[in-house]
Amino acid sequence: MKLVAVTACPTGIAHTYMAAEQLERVARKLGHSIKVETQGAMGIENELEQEEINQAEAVIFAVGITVQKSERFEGKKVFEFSVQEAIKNAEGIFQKVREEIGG
Amino acid sequence: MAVEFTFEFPLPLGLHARPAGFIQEKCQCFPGEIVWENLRTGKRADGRSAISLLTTDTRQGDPCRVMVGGQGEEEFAAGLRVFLLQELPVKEEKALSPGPEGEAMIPEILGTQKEVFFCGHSASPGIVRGRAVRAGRKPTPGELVPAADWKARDPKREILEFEKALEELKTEIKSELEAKEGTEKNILKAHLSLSADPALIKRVEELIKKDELTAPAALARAVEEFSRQLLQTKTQIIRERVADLNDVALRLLEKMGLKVGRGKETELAEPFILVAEDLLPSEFLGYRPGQILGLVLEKAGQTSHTLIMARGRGIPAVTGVAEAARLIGRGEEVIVDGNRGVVVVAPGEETVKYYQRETEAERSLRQVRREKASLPGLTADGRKIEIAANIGHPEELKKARDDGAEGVGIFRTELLLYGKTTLPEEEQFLLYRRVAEEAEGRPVIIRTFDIGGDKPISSVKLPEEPNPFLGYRGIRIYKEYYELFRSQVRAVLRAAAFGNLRLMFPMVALLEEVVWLKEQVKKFAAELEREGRPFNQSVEIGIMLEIPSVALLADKFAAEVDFFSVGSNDLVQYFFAADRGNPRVKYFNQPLNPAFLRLLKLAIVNAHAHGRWVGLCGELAGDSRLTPIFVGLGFDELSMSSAFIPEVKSVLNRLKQTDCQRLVEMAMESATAEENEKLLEDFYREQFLPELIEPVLVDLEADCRSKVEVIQRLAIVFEQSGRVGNRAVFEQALWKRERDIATEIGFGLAIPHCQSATVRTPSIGVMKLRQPIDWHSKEEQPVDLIICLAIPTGDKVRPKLQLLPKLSRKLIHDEFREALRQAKTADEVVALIKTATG
Repeated sequence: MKLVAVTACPTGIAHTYMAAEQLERVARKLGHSIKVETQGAMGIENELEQEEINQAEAVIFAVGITVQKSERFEGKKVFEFSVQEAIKNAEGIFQKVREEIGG
Repeated sequence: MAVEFTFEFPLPLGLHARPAGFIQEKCQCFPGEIVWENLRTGKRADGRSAISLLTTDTRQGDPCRVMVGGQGEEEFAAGLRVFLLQELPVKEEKALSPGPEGEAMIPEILGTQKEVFFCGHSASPGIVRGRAVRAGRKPTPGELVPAADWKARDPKREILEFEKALEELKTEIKSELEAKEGTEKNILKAHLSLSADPALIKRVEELIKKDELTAPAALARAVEEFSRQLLQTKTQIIRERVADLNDVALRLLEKMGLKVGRGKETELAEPFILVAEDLLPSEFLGYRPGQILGLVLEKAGQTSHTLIMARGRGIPAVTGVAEAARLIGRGEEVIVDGNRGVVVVAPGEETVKYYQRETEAERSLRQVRREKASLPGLTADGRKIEIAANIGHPEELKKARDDGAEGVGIFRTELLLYGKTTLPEEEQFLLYRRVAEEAEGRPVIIRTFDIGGDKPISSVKLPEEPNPFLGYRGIRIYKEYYELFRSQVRAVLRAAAFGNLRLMFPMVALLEEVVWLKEQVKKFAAELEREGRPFNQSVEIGIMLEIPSVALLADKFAAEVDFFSVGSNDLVQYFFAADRGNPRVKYFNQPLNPAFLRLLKLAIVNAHAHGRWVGLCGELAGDSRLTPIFVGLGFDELSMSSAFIPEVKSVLNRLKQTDCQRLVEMAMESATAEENEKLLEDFYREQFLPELIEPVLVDLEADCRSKVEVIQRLAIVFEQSGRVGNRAVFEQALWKRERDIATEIGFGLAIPHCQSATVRTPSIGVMKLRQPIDWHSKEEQPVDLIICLAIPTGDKVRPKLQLLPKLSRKLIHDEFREALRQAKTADEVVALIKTATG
């Protein structure tokens, strides 16, 4: 699958980046392509281009707060999880997304 | 038939004693059955019993089911739901915030252990455990009825007397009710229902008939029995009922002809914790040194002289504890947590252990303090600033010296007058001489009697004034109380022959006053000369700088005096026209306001231009956060409660005068105190910015048995390393984050973290546990590796902040976690983390 994701949590120093790292790591292992934007204490990093969002088959939010600049994702299929779930069960997340979009 | 609803329990501290009491009270209004079930723990309870509710072990977010059965169940269930989800959180918030003066910090353990505790303000730091004694409270009914009067001759008459008193009281309360509102009205209503309580009336009559007691004795005994039973319940509501019961009984006893006065409780043999509505300095001084372990006061306020003395003696104190004297009983075990502004009553085992660990931490901090105390009063670039102590009694001199005082910046002599009708010159001479000798050559500034304002003295009868702070006080009364003035100055001049004593006069506003004072000193010296008594001819004479007029005219005053000492409390309140003891205008207490800084700068520059030195002897001098400001302003001496000296010295030794001067130049150009708070914060970070991690932040053999202990340990270690200003604040910030999100992230790893203003620089702590523990709940994998991330508020630390996300990402990788677990030494861990974040 070709995916994009956003991770974010209130303090933005730990969970946000752990979730991003885990999504990237597991995606590599499962052979998916993914770009993960982080919205943490350092602001938005690795920001998703509109083009990249448009091309993605699905969008994953692993968040504990509201996503900034969410208008970019209008019309896309967005799957929302908690940051903890992305850290603990990234495999499960990818599997669920795959089932939903029928890939 | 029953109605039920489920909800998530909303209170952050879980269902502990206080909310359980509120729920009990609410549920008791309903005649039917109410069952509370915690769906997480599977435990059930009777909603009408606080104790039963506590056994459900309900925490924030737990799903709970409430079943209501009986007449009107639908309506009551709906009301109860609203109460639980809306009213209860508001009540809890109110109970936890002690008012406008700032929040108490409640250690997590008090919630988990379901302790009864009271919140107030931290007024003197430290932690102490002991038994309570109440001062200035009403006696209990039992104490009021002399044992000799217990036997009744005519039970029938006694019952009639009792009933008559009951009727009178009911009528009285009913008429009072009409005039009252709010809390007072509620209390009175409770009293009314108690005075008609069938169980109480029945028991009293029984005691009169069977035991042949007089009505007052029967009432006293019945109240005692009920109180004892009620106090077995650990809820605050119950405590309030007991207090109410006593109030009602006292009023009944009054109706039966007994006199109820305010009295002092018989003291305990061993040192105790003093609980009082308010405590006058004279009452405080009425106790032997060492007799009071800790103070719990109902009245708020930080700068009252009782509290200044408590800080001087190292006695922990919590103020603003509503109804403490009514709710805490004599002889009850109490923990006074002066660091957090919390008082725990009858603490359980785990809580006692928690506080033992806190006390242990304080002990090792004291060791660090001693090292700091021995530092010289010097900046890093060699500017000498004398660090002195404020004292109120010669006995405080020893502690001052131990704390590293290089002199005494102010000896507040009026405290010597408390509880005395006279203080002859000879007695004063001996006192001052003792101080002069014990100071061993260090300078001691004796501030002459400052009577009036908030310091009433029984031997000096001053007229009642609408505005005592702006009235007849300090040197203004010396012409009328000339002998008091004369004997003191003579005693100082004589004692100055035995050491380095200086004279300082309070409340000077005009130059003419100084001229008059100096003439008198000259006159007294001439007298001593004639009498042939030894004295010091050349005692330095200074004045307090506590009225703005002196600051603005410092150049002219400088021609007349040898030195100035800023009394910051009074100067701030006179400058902003805001009473420092009035919580409503506490906001104006703004020492960092640029207007105030300009005033100080002007005074210091003018004094220096005339070769005079300027000290600071108010409470502000002890705030090490402000030390850079005082250095930058050019103060020559800082005098404070000696408890603060080590920290101030340690900060001073790391500061450069030139940096501080730049800081003050900027601060004087700000428009508000708030801007300067930020300036100061940034200054600190720039000055003291260390590495992210160092070996002292790593513990590979941690022996912690619970999450409470781990978080506490982290807070202690971070404070000891100087990365966190206040461990209690840090601990609370970590717990707040724990409640927001699960920091147990799998792999046996937990990452407690927070962003808080008390964190001085981004920091990482690492802890490996000897034995894995449950972190959030039993269902999850036990945790044996803890990585704590701490970051300050504000964004000046961005470059360092970037490193924490790097570490977080690394922690996802098995190899990295494994390497951390395998590390044998703290240095290895530090190296691993530095590589990971490099």
